[in-house]
Amino acid sequence: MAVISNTLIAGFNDPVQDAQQVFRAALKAMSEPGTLMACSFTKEAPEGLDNSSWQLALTLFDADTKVWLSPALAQNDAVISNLRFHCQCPLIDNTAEADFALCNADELPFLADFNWGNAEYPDQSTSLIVQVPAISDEPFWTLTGPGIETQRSLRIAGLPEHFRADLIRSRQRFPLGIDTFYCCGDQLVALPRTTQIEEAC
Amino acid sequence: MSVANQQDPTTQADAQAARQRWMGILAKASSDDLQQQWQALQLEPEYQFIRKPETGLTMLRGRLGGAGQPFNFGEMTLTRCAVRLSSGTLGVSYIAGRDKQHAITAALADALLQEADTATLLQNTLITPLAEKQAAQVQARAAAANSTKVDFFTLVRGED
Repeated sequence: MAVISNTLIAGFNDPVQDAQQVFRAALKAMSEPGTLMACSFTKEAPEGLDNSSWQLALTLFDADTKVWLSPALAQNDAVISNLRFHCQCPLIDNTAEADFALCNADELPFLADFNWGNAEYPDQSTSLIVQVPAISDEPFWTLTGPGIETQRSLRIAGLPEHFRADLIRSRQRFPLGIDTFYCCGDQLVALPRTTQIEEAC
Repeated sequence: MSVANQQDPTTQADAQAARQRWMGILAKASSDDLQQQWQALQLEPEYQFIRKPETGLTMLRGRLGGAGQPFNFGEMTLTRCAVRLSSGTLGVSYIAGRDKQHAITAALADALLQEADTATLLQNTLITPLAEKQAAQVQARAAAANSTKVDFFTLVRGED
């Protein structure tokens, strides 16, 4: 499908600097799991995308990354046109081939459907970017693992129950696993596959 | 664009061909000529960058004799730019080289050429003169090459 020009919006104001700053934020979020980061290098995002997930897309997606979109996003002209125009990323239908998956929290497929990589190349797994209704540090999940000194608490709203259970269980398959980003407005938080999660209730 | 989308396929193809023509002329015009003509117009449209002018490389592909297997011919420097006028029309440019101002002006001209109230003005005062100048340059070059053409003919053939 062609790019629809009247839905296009501006990307980064300074593509090189801004993409590096967002990459730095994403790196910090991944290396210190559960830390809330703020990204506000774009004024607006395509309708249907959070500001932080749009900035992650501009930073991480390019012509070599296969991207899977959850159904509501895959039918959204503004999202598709802007991703095609600014990132040139191929959009695919099969979750098992995706390098990145961009999902709304209420449309998350089963974690097992994504690409988990293999024992030789566990780094080839799908990186998941989830748009959620709210993120806070209320005690709901207790996080431990590399990058966390003792423990950290995190609450991510709107995640389906099957996904939460699968995510906690997926830690048993290390070094295979799915690295996840959660986006809400300008906020960004990450849970890499190394983080152990305990649910409080 | 939005107007073109509602029209039937033939007019849409015509509109596309016309746009390809003027985008080609804008891209191939020398930067000085384009700036001179553009400034003479004194148009100051309000616009926003969708893609700021950026320079990169693009791979050129060729076929031997226009029929063989495609091969990578080499890379060339390219600058591209996209702007949106306050009316919402999108203008795009791809030019050879690194001249960012050329890319911006070409993108603005592309956008204004799609607007009904500036299209004729720009066609007459920007595209036509530039096209004529380019055609004259092509002809001058062809004529210069032609002047070195040699006709060989044989006065007497030694038959016996």
